[in-house]
Amino acid sequence: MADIDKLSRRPAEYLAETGVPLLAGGLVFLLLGCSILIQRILPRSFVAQEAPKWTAICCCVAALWLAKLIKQRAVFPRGGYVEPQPHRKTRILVWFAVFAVVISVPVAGLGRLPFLESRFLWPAFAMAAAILGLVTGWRQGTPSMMWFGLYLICLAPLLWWLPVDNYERWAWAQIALGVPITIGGAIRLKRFLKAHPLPLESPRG
Amino acid sequence: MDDVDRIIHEPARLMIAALLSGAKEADFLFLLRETGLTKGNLSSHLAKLEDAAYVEIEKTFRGKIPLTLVRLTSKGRAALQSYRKRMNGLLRHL
Repeated sequence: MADIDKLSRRPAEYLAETGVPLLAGGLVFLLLGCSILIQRILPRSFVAQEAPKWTAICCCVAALWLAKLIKQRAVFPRGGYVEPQPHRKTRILVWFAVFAVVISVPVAGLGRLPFLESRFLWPAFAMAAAILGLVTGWRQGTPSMMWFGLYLICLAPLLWWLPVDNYERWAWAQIALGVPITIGGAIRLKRFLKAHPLPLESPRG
Repeated sequence: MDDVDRIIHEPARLMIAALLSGAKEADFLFLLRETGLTKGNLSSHLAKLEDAAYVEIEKTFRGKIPLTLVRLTSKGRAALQSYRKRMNGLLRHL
């Protein structure tokens, strides 16, 4: 008998296999991180400080649009089109993340909370993400996720050691996350395109 | 065993319904690749599922290329759920 649970997870797994979500996510991290570093290099005038931020946001939107374009032009004609049904747990997680961001932005802006100034904040974040990656990788049996967890473990002391303030440390953390995620996504996409050549005739159904 | 839904019980149709249960919609090519069925076979199974109102089929075009979109209806979703419960119940008694 067919494994119904396994089959119902296939639409989401299929999109993950294409590498496009990873590619888009990694690019967003990279762009946001780079914008902070550029902000630091530029003079402290209003325009010079605001321009990189808004350029990065526009670039992030462009990266997401590019991901959509790759899916429509390269992925769907090869492997087929599917729109996965979001799981209840995923929806709850997404809403929780949005809520956390909405709450944390004014809190971070208004009150200078001591933990936000702490040198351990981003290394601790990297360690937490590493543990999450290792546990998920172990449970799902995905070596790439476990390697990513190990990478984050190595990244944590490096972030702690960096002789910069926390804002810049955050930028480096985003770049350090964005680079492997983008490369991973690009490799997956390349593998997918190689494994799924364009069908010679269109399936009519 | 008589009250088992014969439309869903057939392995290929069960596979199609299970795949569609995790998707809002999917096209013919996706189902073709994932099930490993032939075009004719997949078409006939989809037609049977459509006759039972378990799936909704929309024929459209992406540019000049014909596109067949398939969605599991609420009736199909309910049928899959009850089939699953029924089979779990039967297997527990074995």
